[in-house]
Amino acid sequence: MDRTPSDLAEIIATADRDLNELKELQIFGGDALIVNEYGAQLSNDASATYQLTLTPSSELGVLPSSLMLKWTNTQIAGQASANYTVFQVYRDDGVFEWRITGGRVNDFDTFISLQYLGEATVNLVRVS
Amino acid sequence: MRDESNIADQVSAILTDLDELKTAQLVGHSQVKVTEYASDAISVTSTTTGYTSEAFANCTVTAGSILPGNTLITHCVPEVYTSGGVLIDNKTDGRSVNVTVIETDSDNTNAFQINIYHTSTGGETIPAETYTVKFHIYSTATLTLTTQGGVYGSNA
Repeated sequence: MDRTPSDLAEIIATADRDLNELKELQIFGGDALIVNEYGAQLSNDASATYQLTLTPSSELGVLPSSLMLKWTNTQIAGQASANYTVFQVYRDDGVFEWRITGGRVNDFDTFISLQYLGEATVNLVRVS
Repeated sequence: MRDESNIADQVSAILTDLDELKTAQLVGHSQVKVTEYASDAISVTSTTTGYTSEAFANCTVTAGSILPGNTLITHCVPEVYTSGGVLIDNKTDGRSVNVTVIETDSDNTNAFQINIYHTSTGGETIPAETYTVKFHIYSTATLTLTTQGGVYGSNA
């Protein structure tokens, strides 16, 4: 069957669309990564210990990129303080785990921020 | 000189290739392929100052292939055992042996250091101890690990 110039234009338009989709898929070829973030507020109990787990959703795995604690202090400038300790826990089941101990001392609200690449489930549990 | 029909056939072939490429893409908008690399187990013996003892191990991470302008993203999980074979997992509050990881980056090479710090809890003297250390490095890139044990105050 003979193809018309219109047929050719349609095929080329499809190829162009496919190429653009491929470029979208190449996150490492661009200038930025798509990073997922989990955030939660911690208790103001200084004796609290938390277990934070990052469980990959598939065999492709997940890659933690940063774990941060953030504080807000709006009450007494220069007099607030906090003391937290974060430990990575070794596990052999593909799950990433951290233990967060310590807590708020003065006039802080504490938030945790976990950033990671890939699809995963994040759980934050107070264990003591 | 190619006629329009030949050109259409060639473009159609390219279209087929593009479809196959899309199917083969492991990396999508929100997914990556992460690989774990585990180092060989190495032994490090701590130095003691009486109420504390310290030891460390180093691991250099080199990517096999990474495009210019990209940053190598890795994550390190330490696996450390005492001389008695007990895993130091930092799960228990108030334990006297702490394991921490320091990361330094330089372009396409990452370097990690596992520090082992043992402190006295009841005034007892902390003896030197030989720990077994493994690095678990997670990355989207192909990596080579180079490890070296050491103690503070020397290059052993």
